[in-house]
Amino acid sequence: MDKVHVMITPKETALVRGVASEVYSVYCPAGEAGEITKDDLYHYGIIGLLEAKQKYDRSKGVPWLAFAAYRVRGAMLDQFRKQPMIRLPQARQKKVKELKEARMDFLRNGVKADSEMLAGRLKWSVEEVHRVSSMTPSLMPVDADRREGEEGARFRGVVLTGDGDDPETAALKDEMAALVNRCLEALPSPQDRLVIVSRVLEGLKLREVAETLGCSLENVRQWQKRVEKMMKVRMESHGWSMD
Amino acid sequence: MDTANKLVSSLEIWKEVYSNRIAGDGEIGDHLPMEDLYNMAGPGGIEKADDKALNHLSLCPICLEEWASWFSAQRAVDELDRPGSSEDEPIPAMTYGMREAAATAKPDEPINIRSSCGRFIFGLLPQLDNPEKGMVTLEAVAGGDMAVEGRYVTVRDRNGLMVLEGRLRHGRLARTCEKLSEIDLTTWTLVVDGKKE
Repeated sequence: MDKVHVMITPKETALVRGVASEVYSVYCPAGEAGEITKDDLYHYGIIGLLEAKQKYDRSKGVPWLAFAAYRVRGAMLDQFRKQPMIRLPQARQKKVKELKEARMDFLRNGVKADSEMLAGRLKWSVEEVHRVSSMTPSLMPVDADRREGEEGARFRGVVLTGDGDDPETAALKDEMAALVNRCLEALPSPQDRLVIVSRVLEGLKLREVAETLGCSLENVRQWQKRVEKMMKVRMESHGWSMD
Repeated sequence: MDTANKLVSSLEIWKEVYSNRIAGDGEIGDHLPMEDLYNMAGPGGIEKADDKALNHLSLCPICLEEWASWFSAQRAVDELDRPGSSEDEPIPAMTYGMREAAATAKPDEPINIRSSCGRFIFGLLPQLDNPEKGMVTLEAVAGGDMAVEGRYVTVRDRNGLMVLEGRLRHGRLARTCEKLSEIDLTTWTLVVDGKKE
């Protein structure tokens, strides 16, 4: 990054705050008791914003704030992706548990504890609190996106990760994925595919899909039902029960 | 599991497997450029897009995810202009600073870096006899700037390590640190909580 300091404008600050709120509500279901705070997200958001300022190219025709929101959100989600998905060694797990319990104790008394308070309670150094905080594993899937609160929404509670699948599971997944791909390819048009993947997989709102397709909400609703039925028939014709 | 959930799970597996496969061998051709994905996420975007791009988008989970991200980005921007959209809590102030590569000091030299907004100076004061230990300080420099007095601030280093947190008293905040060398100040961020005490 070049060393020219650029100011963060109030609008950009509000943007980082807004994106952080959305990401926090989706990916931090434990709220204040969780390991990632809104402050953490603000930090990653600022880093994302600075990188956006460096990489922004007006000639691409993407407005600055949309580009910034895109990069800020990406920077926040990258941090979730970096969270360890592996089981920690027992000694570290114990520390993580102690920290979590201390934080919960404070919360039960209505106090949001900072690192110094936690360090005092646990008789650790502040550095130790920070270190243990950073090694806390997260099991929230990053692509469990925007499910709740929307019409027809379905929350996906399953953690899907390619890491650590046993050979049998990996083979089953490959087979299932190839079948889904064949069924998608067999749909009459790319628009049919987009209706189903945008709504069911990516969780876009009915209004958003309707706007980009240039049709009414009701059209999209009916269209989605039709395509879901086609997918079901095709999947079942290959021997996968969908009921 | 009902039909709807089975469909979701099947598509998720497709996304997981094909994201890895496509990333590995470029099986279905080049990915769509950022500006095309942005345009396709706008009003009438799919209506106006050409068949080749639509075909790629509808079968490439990587581009699909990027495309969906543009909707989220646009939602965040729209939210800024929506009256009454701000949450109950006031907006925090955010700023940052950078340690110039050329200004790398010896480990035992104090470091003072001004934030991009000019309102804060972040400092490291190593002990003379043990430069690994020392003080981490933050000072609000605008004289009489009572806007930040008593506010809760957090300072993090480039890697997200929290290096300082607490309320500003008389425009200052400081703590001792056992491992100054672990702090990466190439870019540091400062968030001032919007709420007063």
